Amino acid sequence: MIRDLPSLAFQGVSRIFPGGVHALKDVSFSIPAGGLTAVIGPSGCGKTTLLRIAAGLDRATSGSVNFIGPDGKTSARGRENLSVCFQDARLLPWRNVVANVALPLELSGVSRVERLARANQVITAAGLAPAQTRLPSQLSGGMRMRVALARTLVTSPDVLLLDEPCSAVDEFTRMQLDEEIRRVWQVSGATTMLITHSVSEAVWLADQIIVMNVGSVHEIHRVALPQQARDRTSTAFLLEVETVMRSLARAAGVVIA
Amino acid sequence: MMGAIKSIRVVVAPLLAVAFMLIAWQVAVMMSGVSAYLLPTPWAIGQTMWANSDRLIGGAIQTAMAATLGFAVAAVMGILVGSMIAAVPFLRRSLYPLATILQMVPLIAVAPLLVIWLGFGLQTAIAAAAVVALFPVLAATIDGQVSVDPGLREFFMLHGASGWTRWRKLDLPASIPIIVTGLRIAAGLAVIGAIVGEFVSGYGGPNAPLGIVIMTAMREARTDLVFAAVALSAAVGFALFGAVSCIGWFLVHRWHASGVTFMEQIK
Amino acid sequence: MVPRSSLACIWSYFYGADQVKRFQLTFISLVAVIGVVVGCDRSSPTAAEPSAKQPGALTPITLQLNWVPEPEFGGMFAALQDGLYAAEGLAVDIRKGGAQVPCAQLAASGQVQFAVVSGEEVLTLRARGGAIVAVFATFQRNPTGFLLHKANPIDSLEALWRSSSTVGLDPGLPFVAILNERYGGTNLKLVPYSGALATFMVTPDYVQQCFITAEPVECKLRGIETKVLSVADVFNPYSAVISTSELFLKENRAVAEAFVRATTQGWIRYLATPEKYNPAIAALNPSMTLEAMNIAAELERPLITPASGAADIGQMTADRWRSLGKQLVDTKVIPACGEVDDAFLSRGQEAAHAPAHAPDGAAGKAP
Repeated sequence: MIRDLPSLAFQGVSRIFPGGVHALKDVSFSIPAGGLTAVIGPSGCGKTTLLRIAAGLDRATSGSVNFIGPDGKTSARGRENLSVCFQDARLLPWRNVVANVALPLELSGVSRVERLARANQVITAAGLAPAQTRLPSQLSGGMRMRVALARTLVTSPDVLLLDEPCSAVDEFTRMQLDEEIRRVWQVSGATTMLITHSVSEAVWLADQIIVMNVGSVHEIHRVALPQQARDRTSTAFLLEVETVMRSLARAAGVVIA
Repeated sequence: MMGAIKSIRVVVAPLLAVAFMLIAWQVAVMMSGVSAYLLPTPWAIGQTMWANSDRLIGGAIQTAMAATLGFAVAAVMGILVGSMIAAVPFLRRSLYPLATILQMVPLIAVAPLLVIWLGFGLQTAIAAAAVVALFPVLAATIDGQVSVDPGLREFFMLHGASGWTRWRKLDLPASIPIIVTGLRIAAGLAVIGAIVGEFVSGYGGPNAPLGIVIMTAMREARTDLVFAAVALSAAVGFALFGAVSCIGWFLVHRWHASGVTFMEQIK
Repeated sequence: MVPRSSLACIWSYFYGADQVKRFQLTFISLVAVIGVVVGCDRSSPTAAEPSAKQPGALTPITLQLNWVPEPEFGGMFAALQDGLYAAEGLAVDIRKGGAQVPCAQLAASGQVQFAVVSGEEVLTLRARGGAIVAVFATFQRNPTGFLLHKANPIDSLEALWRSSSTVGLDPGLPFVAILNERYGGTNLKLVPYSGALATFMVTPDYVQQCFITAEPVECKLRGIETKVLSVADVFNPYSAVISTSELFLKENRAVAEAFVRATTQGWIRYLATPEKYNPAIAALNPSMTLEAMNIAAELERPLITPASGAADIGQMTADRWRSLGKQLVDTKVIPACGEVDDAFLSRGQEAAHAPAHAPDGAAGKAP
């Protein structure tokens, strides 16, 4: 699939909340077009604020977030065509799975027939077809998250912002969801930013990991492993995890022997 | 099996309570020898009801019409105005206190004015019913819509939904459980409002509404007929309340706990 | 801003409250209500009895009016103002009433010692088992009528009852049934009487019940030309009747007679110089001007004073009560009317029991 995907560039982003709290201090990094970058760090380090600024739900006090087209120029397309998946699934409780997945298309005025066809396609691909007429209250937490992930795909986004999608599920479900996230990223081919606080998740999914300290970038780590070689039990994978772990520990000021 | 036993218990328990209450009432009145014009026995009220069934049913139909239409006006107005107030922070600050005052207005004092503005007949009873039924709907609508999950609002914002779209597809459906609660309270109040409206504006004659039947019976010192008419107005209120509850259950039972609870109650 | 807690409260009432507990509550409160009503009825006649009279102390008496203070109650206010009640050993508290005050029931159940009612209310309540007795009839001739705008072409009760006018009337007035029987009245639109003139003033073809001494005067002073169709020729009960319970009369006959004597004297004085007493009444009723009250007093004099003279004010005859009872039975307002001798206190009975020290004028003549 050849698409003019944008890259996502954070340039000196700072955010001071009313009351003087510096949530972000001069954050700069960029996510290559079609890449998956994980942002990792302790709670309250400003990860989510960063994502909200990228999504246009919050404003940077200074600095900017730009979507840059293949021609090297700032493009508006990325912002128009981005999808966000929040840590709470944010499904409408009175709508069944199909209607929830079709909602983004409905809001942008796509005809009923077309949006249902598209929603069904996405649902089938995610293996959610047996549950498609269920209501959110009839689904498990993991299933709800899968629906929310499927929903991000329905608009064929160029940019995907995932805000800790696995934070509320158990380890077993997390592994399943990670598979799903990888699938979603690969199917969409979108430039993707994943907020997480799990090192192994970040290493397993991302090609670049931003390790954050409180409010600022501590280290940018490139994951050298090829995607198909990421076996959670392999030595290479565990070594990679260890490296990121050490970086994180340094950021947190914890001494590791 | 368990379900059947439960259903029987749920149906029989209130019936037993009512039966026991009526018997206690009958016995208390008979033993004390209290005059019928002060407190008639349930048996005497039942006989009166039977003997005056034409007049009472005709009146109940009139009253039910006024209450239902007044309730409908209040429901539509309450939801529309409440939504507007909830949507616009300025209106919320400026109009909500006024809406609260609406609740404090004694209908008895306003009813004569309604007659002067609207004239005699059904329309004034409808207006009186609407006046008292409006506030619970309004308050519930505002309450429901300001407490919509901000995460869902953000989701709609993110997808560029207009205010109108968000109201239709998010705010309104999300607040239906609370609005239904307001509507159920309004249903009972609408009957009271209609009867007070009839006190000042109802037409006399063979098809006089319950409000006029009550006043006439009062004037003629027919306490038994007063009680019979009151029982019928309670029945009208209960029917309206039940209808609203059923519609509410139908709307929300699949996704909201309140619907489930209601089903438990009537099962 | 939003009273969320109050809504939560309502919510919990409908959804949270335990069902059994709710039934218990309903039941307990109903039993309590019945208990209170029954208790009241049994105890009230004694409760309403004037408390044992201390030497020199006045007997407290409550007189419940069926309308706001107006010249139709002038004699009672005059008796109060001139200390006639106090001279009889009574401390009278005059309570104003209104359309919704059930005066007859209050008197019959002993909640008040005396209440002003209309004649037909006495017989109606007695037919329903209420032990009420009339002791004093203010109006010998029924002052009730229909108030019409002067330009209204209707000029008789018959014409009115054959028209399709909208008529404001207290629901349940017996003369409606009488007029219905005579003239049909099927096209009339009967609506509740509001007690005010607002609708009448703005509606040229509107008709409403009136007290000949009240609303027409009020309209005249406001520059509205009216005419009145009296119902006295069709239906003529005593009106503004002071009533009490049978029990009170039996146990406190002397008090009742003293009250009647003072009231009679009050009326004699009031009708002689109403302008002396009206300011006090006007002070209690801001809705009627002093001027209107002075006119009303002139209008009511012939309706109150019996043919036999002012000394007989308030007296009643069994014949009048009997014919009223017959009318009420004929029009099916009541199923039957018992012997009327117990329904009212005749002056003859009163004289027989009159204490020796009664002032001459007050005892009056036996009919």
